[in-house]
Amino acid sequence: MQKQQQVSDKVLVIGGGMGGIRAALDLAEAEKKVILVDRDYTIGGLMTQLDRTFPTNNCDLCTLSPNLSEGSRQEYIELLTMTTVKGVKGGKGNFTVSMETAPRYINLDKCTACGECHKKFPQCVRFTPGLDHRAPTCMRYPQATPQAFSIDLAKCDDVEGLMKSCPAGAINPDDMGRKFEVTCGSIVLSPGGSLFDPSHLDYLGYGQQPDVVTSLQYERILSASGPTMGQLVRPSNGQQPKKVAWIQCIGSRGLQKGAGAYCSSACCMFALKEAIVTKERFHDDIETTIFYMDMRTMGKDYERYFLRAKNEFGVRFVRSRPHSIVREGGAENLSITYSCDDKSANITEEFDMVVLSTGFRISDEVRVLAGKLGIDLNSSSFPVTDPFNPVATSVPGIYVAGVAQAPKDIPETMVQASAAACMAAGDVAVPVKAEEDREPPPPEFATVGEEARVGVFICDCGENIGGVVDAGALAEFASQLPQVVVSELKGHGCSRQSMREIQESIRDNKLNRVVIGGCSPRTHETKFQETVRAAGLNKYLVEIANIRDQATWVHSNSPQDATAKAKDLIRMAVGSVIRSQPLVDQSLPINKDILVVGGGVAGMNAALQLADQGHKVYLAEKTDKLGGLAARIHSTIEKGDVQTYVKDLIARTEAHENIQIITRALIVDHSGMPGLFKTGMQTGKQMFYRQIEHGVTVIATGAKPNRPPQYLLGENAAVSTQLDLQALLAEKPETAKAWDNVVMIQCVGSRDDENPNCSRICCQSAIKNALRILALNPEARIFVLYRDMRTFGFHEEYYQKARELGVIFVRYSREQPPRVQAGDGGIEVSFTDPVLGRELTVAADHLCLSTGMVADEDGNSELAMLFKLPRTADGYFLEDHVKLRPIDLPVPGFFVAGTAHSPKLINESVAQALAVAARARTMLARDTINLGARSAKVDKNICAACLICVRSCPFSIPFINAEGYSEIDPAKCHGCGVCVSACPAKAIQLMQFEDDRILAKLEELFERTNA
Amino acid sequence: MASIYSYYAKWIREGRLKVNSDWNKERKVKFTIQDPCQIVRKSFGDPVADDLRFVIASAVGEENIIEMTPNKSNNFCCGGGGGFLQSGFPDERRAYGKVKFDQIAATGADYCITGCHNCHAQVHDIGHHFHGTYGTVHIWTILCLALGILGPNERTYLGDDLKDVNVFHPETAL
Repeated sequence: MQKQQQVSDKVLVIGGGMGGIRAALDLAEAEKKVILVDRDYTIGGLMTQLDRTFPTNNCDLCTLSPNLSEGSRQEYIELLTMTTVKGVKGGKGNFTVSMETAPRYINLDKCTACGECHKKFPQCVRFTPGLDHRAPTCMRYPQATPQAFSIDLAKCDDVEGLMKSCPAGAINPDDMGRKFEVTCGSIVLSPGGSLFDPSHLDYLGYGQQPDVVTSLQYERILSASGPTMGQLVRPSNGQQPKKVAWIQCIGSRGLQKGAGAYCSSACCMFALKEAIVTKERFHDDIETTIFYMDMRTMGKDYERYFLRAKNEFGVRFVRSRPHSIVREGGAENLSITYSCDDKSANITEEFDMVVLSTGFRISDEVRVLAGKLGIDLNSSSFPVTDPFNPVATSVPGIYVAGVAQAPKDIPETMVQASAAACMAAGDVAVPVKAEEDREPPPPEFATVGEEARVGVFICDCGENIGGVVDAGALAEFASQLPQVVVSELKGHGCSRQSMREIQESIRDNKLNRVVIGGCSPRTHETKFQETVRAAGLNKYLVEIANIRDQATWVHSNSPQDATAKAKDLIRMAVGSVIRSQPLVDQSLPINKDILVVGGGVAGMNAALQLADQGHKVYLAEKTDKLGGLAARIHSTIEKGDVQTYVKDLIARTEAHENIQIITRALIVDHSGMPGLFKTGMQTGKQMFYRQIEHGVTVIATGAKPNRPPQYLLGENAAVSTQLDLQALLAEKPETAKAWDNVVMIQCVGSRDDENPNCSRICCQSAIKNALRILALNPEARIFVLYRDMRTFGFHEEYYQKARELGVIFVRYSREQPPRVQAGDGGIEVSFTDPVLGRELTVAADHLCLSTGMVADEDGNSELAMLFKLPRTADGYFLEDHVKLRPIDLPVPGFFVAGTAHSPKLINESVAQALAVAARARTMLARDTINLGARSAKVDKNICAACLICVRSCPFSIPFINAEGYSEIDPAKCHGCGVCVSACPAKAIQLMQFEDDRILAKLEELFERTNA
Repeated sequence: MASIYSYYAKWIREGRLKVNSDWNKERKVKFTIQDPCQIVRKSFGDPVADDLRFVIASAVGEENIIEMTPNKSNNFCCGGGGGFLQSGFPDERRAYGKVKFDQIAATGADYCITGCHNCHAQVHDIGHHFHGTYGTVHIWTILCLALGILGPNERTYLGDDLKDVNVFHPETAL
């Protein structure tokens, strides 16, 4: 008998930045075991250092920290921080990875992150990325995971004192670190990128002039958790700057010594964001200038962001690569010397601060790691990936995501992370469901109708609370409150010992309500909910009074006020918890079938991935055949054979036993809830009606090639689109041999009033086709008339190659577009050359227009109405969160892939399709779906069916049912509370936030005032 | 592939090129150095600029070099490259060259040493055009002068102050 290779049931995720966290969560939620390793002492990566993110300009930590804390909670994830990979053996299905964990010198089980050690040993370490003072005990930011500190023992000269400073006795200077091995079936590589270091470029003044900073340092200066506590000041003198310049492409596009040949893709956007945030702070009191080569705002709605920066915020844009940044002897300000189109001379201008937009690169450490993994790297040291699967490396079983794959921004990283999770999940065995090692919690005891018996537990949280107020006196105060049976002081309520004591107290004193006077529910609510639940109490019967953040931290200078406020908070919490009621989390059984709408590359990939996992997939295609737009494309710029790929994809889809293909499908109705959808469609030539029941819906309806009636398109045979041209070059290559002059015009039907966004794909299409023409006919002269060349990532190298081969790139402005007329010898194209300052006319044998893509307005608006999905202004489907949830649609159970989301390349569509499969599996892994308890509930005896809730609900959930009152499906309700406040009859209550609880809090708060 | 400046420097260090700057001990003729874009800024960078300086210091004496600002990898273009010297548009070419002229003039040096034929032609031309007081010499000329092998008919670009220094007469020397 052949020995069967044992397949491991674990996935190793290397790198705990946003990408690694996303991949780990997707895997864990799909019930795969994950080991997440990061060399840093907390997870979070680069994103935790950012102040805000484009294009929403939200603060990052708020959007990020739920993800981080989820990361530590998931039972399927083993988190190993301060750990590096030392060696890899084996192959797909069975890797053996040796690792080493560096000593943290802090016992994670004991540390409560109280901050005492940090307070007593402050400010003696400098810490890259710069401008950031750190103590030897270092927690990077308040929401860090693990929620614990770490010590840099080498920087500490009083180890004894440091140990004594810890009230929990968690500091262990004898920590040794450890070496060990793990086995895993597949590996997700997401170590992120490092940033280009401009120190060696003396003409930029970085390192010599304190007011020259990198974009990440500027980000830290803007950040509330940064070294200046969010004050935007010049490092040299602490004054507010009046004039700030950004210089783009530092370390990118092969410009400087040591720079990557590629475009770093994200820097234009982060410079715009930093300039806008700067403008928002100081308005007319500050000038912002961006020196750029091409503004590359090719992401979804990014062009609008660029226009906002220019038109609304007055950010100034100068197309120039500055020569130098110097500070003349004795001068306070920096001088930038540059030149631009309108003047053939150097211009010198003074600025207070200069920000260098440094690009991404692969660190030496990651290069070494890649060597250990045995994956192939390209000339820029990024992993070589499959042309049609950007997360698949050269080694089966190893997948890459995020900046480590190619420079990119956060949403694309999230997409790839989910895609890598999807691929990695396919290589591991299904974990054997271990016998529950934890005992199931005891049955909940009845509380309804019982007299409230409240237990109050006050934490002193070390010095955090106890150092400002007398916590014992607070406990004494609380014991006097009505219905309080027990009130005790707990040192650290969140320590295991205290939790056990709280549970015992619940049992011994028959408590049926609990108040914790301690820290933030944001970090600790779940913990305390689990604590009381384990003692048999419904988890919604505990309330946290945040006396740390809201009293002792903010009023640390005034203990008396802090005490008074803490008392108010505790009284309010007690008043509220008395009226709290046991709630049940909503859960529903899930139908595990899937409907995929759209049979292009994205739809087929998503369908195949899910079908391979054993799900029944209905693939509904509007036309009579599969393939979508990709079926018309011959080759990618990397020379990937699209025709063969699409044919193979169609064959595999058609042959798959779990996929049912429905062509000529027209969706006509839709109902149900996530996990239990019903979608009706008319299908086939006869338009028969059929209804499909499914749990998840994937929108992969694609986009349309744009054909605006401009520049003689459709009127003259010598004028085509890039899509037509690539077909012509593939099918009738001899045509190109007769061409002397070819002109291409970029941004036709994009970046104009009608369609303000960039179509993302056209710059690379133009270069792909120009290179193809030159391969067929090296004598051809090709002119590309462009506004900004947006060859992001590795496409930049093809742009470079096209210029080397003699393709002439001439810029035009939106105000002065080229003019075209049919002449005797072909098409006469006239344009102004900005370098020569002259009007030129080229008689072109062929004129090719880069027309890009537009959303299918008719199709999308119909679907959006049926499925209740929001869309962007230009008609693409709008995701749940443009930064962190680019695959999930706002309606639970709906996911989007491919160009239905925004214009994108084939491999980007594939990545998103794989990501959809990973996201869908997180839902489908469970037999039921937990919707939490927070939902709006209608009292039918009061409801007057006035329709106000129906009209006010942003999600269109309430409806008037057959019995004549408003019904709100708890499974669909988002718990936003809009209907609750709008209802004139007060017939609607929001569970967990019922009126009487809120009023009780207010009564307790104002009791003192009234008396 | 390496630049000829690096070879000159290597050969001088090895003692194979016996360069001597004694001729300029008393005269104290001052030189400035034009870093050619193609060799320095666009390819080999500061290390080759340092070699160039070592060669020139060996030939004219370190104390007789006055540097331009900026220099080496950050040097300004002479304005004659890229085919500009041959393409017409002389007014535009000289307008670009004004930056270089001002830079050279600011040093107060007697000569600008160029190691690039293009730079030589442009630096020479703008010197005349803007009525500069500096001369323009090729590094080869000054190296041969310091080796004592520069003939009388190879001194077209030297001023009167250097016309009779170390003159080499092959017919008498042989």
